[in-house]
Amino acid sequence: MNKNKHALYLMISMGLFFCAVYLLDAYGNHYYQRVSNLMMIYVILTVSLNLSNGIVGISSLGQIGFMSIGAYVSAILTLPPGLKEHWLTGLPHWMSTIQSGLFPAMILAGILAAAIAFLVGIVILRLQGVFAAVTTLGFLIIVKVVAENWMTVTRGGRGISSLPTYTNLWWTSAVAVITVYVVLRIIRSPYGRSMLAVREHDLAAQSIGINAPRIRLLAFVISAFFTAVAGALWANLIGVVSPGSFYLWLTLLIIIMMVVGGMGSVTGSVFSAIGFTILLELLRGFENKIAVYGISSIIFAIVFMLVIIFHPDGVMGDREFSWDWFKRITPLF
Amino acid sequence: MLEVTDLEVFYGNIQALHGISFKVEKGETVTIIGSNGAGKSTTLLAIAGLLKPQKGEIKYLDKHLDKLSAYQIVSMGISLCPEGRRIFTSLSVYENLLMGAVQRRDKKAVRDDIHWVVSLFPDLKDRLEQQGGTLSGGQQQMLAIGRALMSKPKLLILDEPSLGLSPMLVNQIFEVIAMLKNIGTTVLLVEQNARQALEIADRGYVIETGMITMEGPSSVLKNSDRVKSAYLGG
Amino acid sequence: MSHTAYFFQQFINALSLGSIYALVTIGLAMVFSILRLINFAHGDLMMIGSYSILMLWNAGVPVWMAILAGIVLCGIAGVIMERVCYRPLRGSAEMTTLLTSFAVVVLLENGVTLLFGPNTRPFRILNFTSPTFSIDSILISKIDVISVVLTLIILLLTTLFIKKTTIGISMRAVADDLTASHLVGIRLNRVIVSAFFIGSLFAGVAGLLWSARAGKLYPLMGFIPVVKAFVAAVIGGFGSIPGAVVGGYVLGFAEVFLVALLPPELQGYRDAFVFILLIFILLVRPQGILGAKTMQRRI
Ligand SMILES: Nc1ncnc2c1ncn2[C@@H]1O[C@H](COP(=O)(O)OP(=O)(O)OP(=O)(O)O)[C@@H](O)[C@H]1O
Ligand SMILES: [Mg+2]
Repeated sequence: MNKNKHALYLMISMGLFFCAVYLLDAYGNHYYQRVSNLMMIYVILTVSLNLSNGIVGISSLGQIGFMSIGAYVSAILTLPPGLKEHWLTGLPHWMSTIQSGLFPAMILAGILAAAIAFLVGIVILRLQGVFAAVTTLGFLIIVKVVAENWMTVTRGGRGISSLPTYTNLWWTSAVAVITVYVVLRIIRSPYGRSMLAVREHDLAAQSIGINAPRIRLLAFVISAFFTAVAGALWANLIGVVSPGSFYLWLTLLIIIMMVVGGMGSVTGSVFSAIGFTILLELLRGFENKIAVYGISSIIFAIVFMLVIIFHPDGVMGDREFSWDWFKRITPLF
Repeated sequence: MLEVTDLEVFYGNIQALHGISFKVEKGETVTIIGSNGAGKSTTLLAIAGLLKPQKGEIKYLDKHLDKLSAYQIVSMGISLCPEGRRIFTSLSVYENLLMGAVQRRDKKAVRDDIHWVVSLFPDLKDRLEQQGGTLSGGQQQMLAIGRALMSKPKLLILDEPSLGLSPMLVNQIFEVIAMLKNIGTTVLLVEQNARQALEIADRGYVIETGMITMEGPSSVLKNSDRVKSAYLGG
Repeated sequence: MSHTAYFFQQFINALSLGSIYALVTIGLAMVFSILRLINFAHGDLMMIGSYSILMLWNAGVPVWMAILAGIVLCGIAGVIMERVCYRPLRGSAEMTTLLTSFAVVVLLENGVTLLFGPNTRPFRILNFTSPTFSIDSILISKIDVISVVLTLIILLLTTLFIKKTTIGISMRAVADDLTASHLVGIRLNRVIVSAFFIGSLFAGVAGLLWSARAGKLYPLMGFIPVVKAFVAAVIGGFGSIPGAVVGGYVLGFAEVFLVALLPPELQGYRDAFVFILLIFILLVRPQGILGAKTMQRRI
């Protein structure tokens, strides 16, 4: 009974969401479209990070490395062939003559990142938190160093520009919805529920019959997949990829979004990503006005420290949205 | 000298002490006996400032201890030799003893006291440079007691000093306690080994599941049927 | 240049680089052994030290005064960092403090960028890098000599400090058993503040040597060294000072000889190789090489 009702609500809200997407995509001005796209990309990144770091408790600081991989893969695939032959001389011939669309680029980006995540995951799952954190940070640095030095494939520090801007709101919002759906499915699976219950207690999880390493590895790989897809979307939104874009600041930014929303809560991640994107834009406007740059990152870092000191569980802890919330507000539900 | 009233301590939601009250007068040797998990160590850790009580008060020389940090409590003359020895395994015996006197400024007297401790526990004599972790269990226990003595405590608290020791070593440890008692140190002794504890103590308390259930002079407790059957093996 | 001469040239290079790593790693390991905190912002103390020295020098302060003041400022900055950023988090999970230190990195690096701009600045104090003497075509620069000698002196003093002083022994005691340290009356805050102060002084020295070696400084200069210092700590066993030193030198040698062996077109990848090395070490020995002591949540 209740279930049917909730399915109905869900369909209605999805319908409203995509109506909004349609309106914004068709009639919205360029700036709002861009911010909304970024918002959806941050939602994907934060929810994916939450899957690995919050829900299955892998201490990874390297997720942005997967984003970088995804962005570069997509950039290389979607760059017009004329420019490719000119800039990316290290590519095999067949690759420099084709130009792929966004969808295949996204999927390939995700698959490559997932494969790399599988290898990285095998190492870090054996490590205790701090070691895993620094190792994944090492991975992030490796990715950056490769992007900076592999001149004939990544064009080094100059980055790859003039990318076709395929990304639009339909793509970003669809991927965001799929990411949320997949992660929620994982949380609601029997594995996921017990993972959440016994987070940080591997032994306990193993003793109740969960193959903890396997499910954690799977979560890590899925997280990397969506993170890379977000990277692909990002590359074809901004039109440029360069090594410095995917580094410490972005890493901290999505950590902040995740922690403030609540490690373990998808709802928290979604709303936190939306909120912080708006805040970021407001601060950026302010920075432009006074022509002093870098204030936003300082403010974000301070906010993060305050949250972690005074409210370490974030806004949502590991709770999730439920329709019952509305019951309290209106008897209609 | 020490007065504990209505002490309640929780670990998370689990209440370990349900209102404990007892007293130790100056110069006395008092023992607390009780079975495993009764709350003895919890009581002592609360006195030493490592656990914060939710309710009740701990007064020492008419001052409240419950708001103080552990180091302040040490500086007031209380020294706890914890359960399970907990010596510094990577420090030498000598350094362990120095750490016992970490708050003292009288370097010369500290060195004399190290000699004094070594004279109490001759086993440690040739091992001052040995790493704490390489000592035998019994030697570690002596080192732990010695370390607790190095702060020149007015009140020495011992948590199961005889745990896991051979009868001969147990006797040696009780001899040292008797000696400390003779030179006027106030001792609060927690023991599983109730027989010897009651032998040496002036008064005793029995603690069961976080509550004091009996108290009295040792001679009375020793002869009570309940104590006899529960703690003295019939 | 003959083969042997080339080898010695690299040897000196490695010794000099290893010294800097050792200095950074000691500070990192000191704090870690007491608080179980990986302080990524430790690298930024290097940066703060170098900037302070340069700014003081630019303002007309005599070189040696500027250096001394910069290093002391660095120590004070470390103490403030502990007080403001880490003390409120005492008792939190390791990951919480680690993430916080990451936020501190972003905070400090952006702060310095805001104050002094993002650009690389030349650091040519004392002309440290000019070769002072040469033996059989091996060039030895001032900075190499200073790095090695200074580091040796510091190591000697540190050893004495750790072995002989009350606060030094207390540091080891706290790292060994926190509860027992409380019980004997060690004042934890003093020990922690001392560890931060000393570690930060060393970071200041390391920052000076690092910028002098590179001849430049920039806001992000401390980040790679501190993550590498972690690799050194993993090699040397976490939490022990001698281990940190060994790890620092091993890393210095590994890096320099790796670069020497690599074909020129791959030399840009040196940092990548260092972290691949880390991954391989941890793959074989998840606890690091020399350190078998299990790490637990503390304080
Ligand atoms: N760190 C802790 N977390 C949760 N519960 C604890 C903790 N330490 C002790 N307890 C519980 O508190 C109660 C009292 O423990 P305590 O160590 O004080 O007993 P004890 O009388 O010293 O026992 P023993 O003779 O075995 O040393 C026990 O039920 C124990 O399980
Ligand atoms: Mg006990």
